[in-house]
Amino acid sequence: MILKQLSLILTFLLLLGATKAQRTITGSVKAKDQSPLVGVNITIKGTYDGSITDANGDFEVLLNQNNSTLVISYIGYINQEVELASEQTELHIILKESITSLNAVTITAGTFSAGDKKRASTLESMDIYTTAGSLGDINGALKTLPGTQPASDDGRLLVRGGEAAETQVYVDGLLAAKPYYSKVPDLPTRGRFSPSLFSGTVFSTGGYSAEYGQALSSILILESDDIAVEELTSLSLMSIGAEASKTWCAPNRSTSAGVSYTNMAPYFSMANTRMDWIKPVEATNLNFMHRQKYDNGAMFKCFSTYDYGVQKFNTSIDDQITTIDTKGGTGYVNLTYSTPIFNNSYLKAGMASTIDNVKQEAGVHLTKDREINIESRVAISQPLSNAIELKYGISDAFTAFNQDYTNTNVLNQHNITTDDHIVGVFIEPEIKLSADMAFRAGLRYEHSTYLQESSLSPRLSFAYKTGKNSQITAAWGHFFQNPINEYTKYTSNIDFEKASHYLMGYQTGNLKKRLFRIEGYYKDYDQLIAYDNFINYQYGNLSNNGEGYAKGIDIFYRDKETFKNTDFWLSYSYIDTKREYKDYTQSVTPNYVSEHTFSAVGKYYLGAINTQVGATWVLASGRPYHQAGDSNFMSRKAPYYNDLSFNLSYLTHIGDHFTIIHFSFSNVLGRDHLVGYRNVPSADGSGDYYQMPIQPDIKQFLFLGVFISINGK
Amino acid sequence: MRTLALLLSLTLAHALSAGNYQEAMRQNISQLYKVNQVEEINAIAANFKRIAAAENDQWLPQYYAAYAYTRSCHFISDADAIDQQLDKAQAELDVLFKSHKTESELHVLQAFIYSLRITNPSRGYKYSSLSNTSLSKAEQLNPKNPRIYYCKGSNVFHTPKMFGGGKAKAKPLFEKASKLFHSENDSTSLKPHWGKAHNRAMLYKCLDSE
Repeated sequence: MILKQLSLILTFLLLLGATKAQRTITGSVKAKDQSPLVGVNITIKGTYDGSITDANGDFEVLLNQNNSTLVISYIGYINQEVELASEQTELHIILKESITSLNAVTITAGTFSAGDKKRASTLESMDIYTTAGSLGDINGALKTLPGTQPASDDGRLLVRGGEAAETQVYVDGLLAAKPYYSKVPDLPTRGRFSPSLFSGTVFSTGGYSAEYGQALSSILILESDDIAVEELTSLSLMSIGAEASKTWCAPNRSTSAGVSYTNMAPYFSMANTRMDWIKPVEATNLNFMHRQKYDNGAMFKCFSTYDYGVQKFNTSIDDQITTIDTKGGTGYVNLTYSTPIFNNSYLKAGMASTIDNVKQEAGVHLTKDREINIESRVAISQPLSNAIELKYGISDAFTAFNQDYTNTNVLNQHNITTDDHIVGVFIEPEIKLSADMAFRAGLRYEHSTYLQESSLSPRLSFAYKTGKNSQITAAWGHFFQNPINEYTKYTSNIDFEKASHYLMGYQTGNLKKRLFRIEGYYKDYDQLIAYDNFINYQYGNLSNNGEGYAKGIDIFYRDKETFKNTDFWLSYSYIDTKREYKDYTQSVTPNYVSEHTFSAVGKYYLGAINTQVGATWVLASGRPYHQAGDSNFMSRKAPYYNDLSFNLSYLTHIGDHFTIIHFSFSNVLGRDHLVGYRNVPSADGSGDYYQMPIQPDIKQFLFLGVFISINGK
Repeated sequence: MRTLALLLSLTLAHALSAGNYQEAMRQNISQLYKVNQVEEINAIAANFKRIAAAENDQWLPQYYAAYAYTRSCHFISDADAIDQQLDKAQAELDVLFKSHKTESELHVLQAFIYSLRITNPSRGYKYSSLSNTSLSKAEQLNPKNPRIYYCKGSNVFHTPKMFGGGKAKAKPLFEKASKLFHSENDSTSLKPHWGKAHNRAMLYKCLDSE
């Protein structure tokens, strides 16, 4: 009996012993380009056991006789399962990158993006504030990127040969119809939105997605802050005004309200202004934001800002003094709701409304403009598979424009009202052919009820990864835009203006260390507004016969590595552009374009004294201008532009509260910044023209501000 | 009879070695606190990842993989190597956030990762803001988590006095963490319990040279 038990036990032991027989598998794991992959996980299937690859991509794993399957996994790559042959002791694997990998290709053609959540971004969200010369204006910082014109007399974004109106600004994907304060002649304007309200920026200098239209040159998308998690009160005291804001928060929701007051009078009374100011700019602003997140992942955002401002100055031409008096206010409300829906898809719906009311008296001309713009959008992002994401949607932009004009001298008067619905429908699949190659093909249809015109724009963009951090990009598309109010208020018998973009570029590096980017483009403009003259409030022969082209190269280099504690970027743009449009008598380079533009932006952190210093240097070749009487149109050149600005931020605390003291100084070199001349008809009716120099109002602008965060960081 | 019992226990042990979740986790967690070489820590992180792959409904294995990579940074001085390890930790955490974003420990680990990114002063402002935001989220989800106050204290301790930081400000946070660590005493749980010893050390630093 015992013997039988013993023999049973012995056989059992032997069997047990046999299952404990092991073999060693050695091998390597490499990527497609034969580079070794380090830290790849080799798991013996069905167990917790295994090994990882070493610095050479080699591994060694101990297998029991009854284990024969290995699972090879590595983040960003497609897992492999290998069934080993009974005598096999060596295994060499090549892993393929997964298209869902975070390192997979993203389409960046023509785009500069900033934000903590953005892949392939080229700017940090703090860059807007800390770039010298920007004076806290988003556009100021963007103008140090290639593809933009310095245009110090304008203040708005002029991109790759296009006018300011050819760039549209979006907040959270919905149109912000009036992103700048009203532009008056001879004074640059600035952006209306404070950079502190946004956490991300996407600036596309061409070839943008079919989701957007009505912008011949470029779009700027500002993404407002997410839900705040800390209650915060901020106070800003500046040489030109003051600002206060408060944020309240609860789990899954936050609300902020802010108020600001700007008055240039105290500063202007000390500074040397070229303009004869009667009432320097005085403005107030109120903003309100609310964010709410729901359990299913849906998010509601409300962003609104209201401002009202006045300014009054005298201009003198030939001893004739004209008073320019502007008063106006704008309200902007932006509501968005995004929610996950069926099948991993996302729905985004929103509505944005701008109400703008401006009254301007320029000598005898009294103009009252009222504009209401309401844009509504619904878009769905639907992943059809791991490789294909489909986006489609519909939008409607309603604009009602009303202008009351009175000439107090000749008692002439007219009133114009136009209204327009621009309906847009788009569909755009984004297809990842592999982890290295992706393209986006879109189609956008638009119809304007006022112009009674429709357009169909195809868009294509493409990216191919040539290395871990490099890619080649290309884009092409057709872009249509309604002519501006100035022309459409007289007639609806005109057509969309049109542009075709062709871009190709190369980008390498990453934001943490060094980034280099070069992009070449060709743009063909067609159907631009052209006319013979403007007499008796009529544009003679108004038509879409204008045309033009723009071609050039933009280069960008950013470096945070080479010099300790220093972050700098260099931009260079070359542009060759000519237009024959408006009242141009020949095809020439327009007067707002510099052929060569170079910008250098640097920031250096002096840890020992808790200070960051920054400098921005912009050099641009002289802009063309036309001297009345010349037979060759627009044949003269203004001097080249050379501007050096400097800023300093000192981080400290007042009592318990984190404080930043900020000082900035523009045009340190004291240059005259003469960028051209404006031909103004002589008041004596002789038909002569007076050449009015276009120069900044204040040669060198000094700014001082103290920003305090109360009850928090 | 005794031999039979011995044999049975041998076979039982064999059965246990393949696939006992609790035991495997405990062994790896205890091993993690014993080693200080990056290669060894990476190997333990890989162990956790394998357990995670086999146990789909558990978040702790993947959490510990992320924690292991994060912890390894204490033993490295090269900024690039630190970034590499934190990238690995972040990758694991990003996957976890997709399915467990209401777990306070994930937000605390995220805050910890952010603060370790500060390998030079120019990164200070960006990452300490991100770190504090994550800690606020963690506090909303579970205000009794001692690691929240330990990390907050650490952030404040390393923030220059100039911007409202320093020992005096950090002390009450370490004290609050200390009390909560004390009541967190379940030694059988696999849940994260790191920070207690280092919190005590930081508290002493605050009491010292005051």
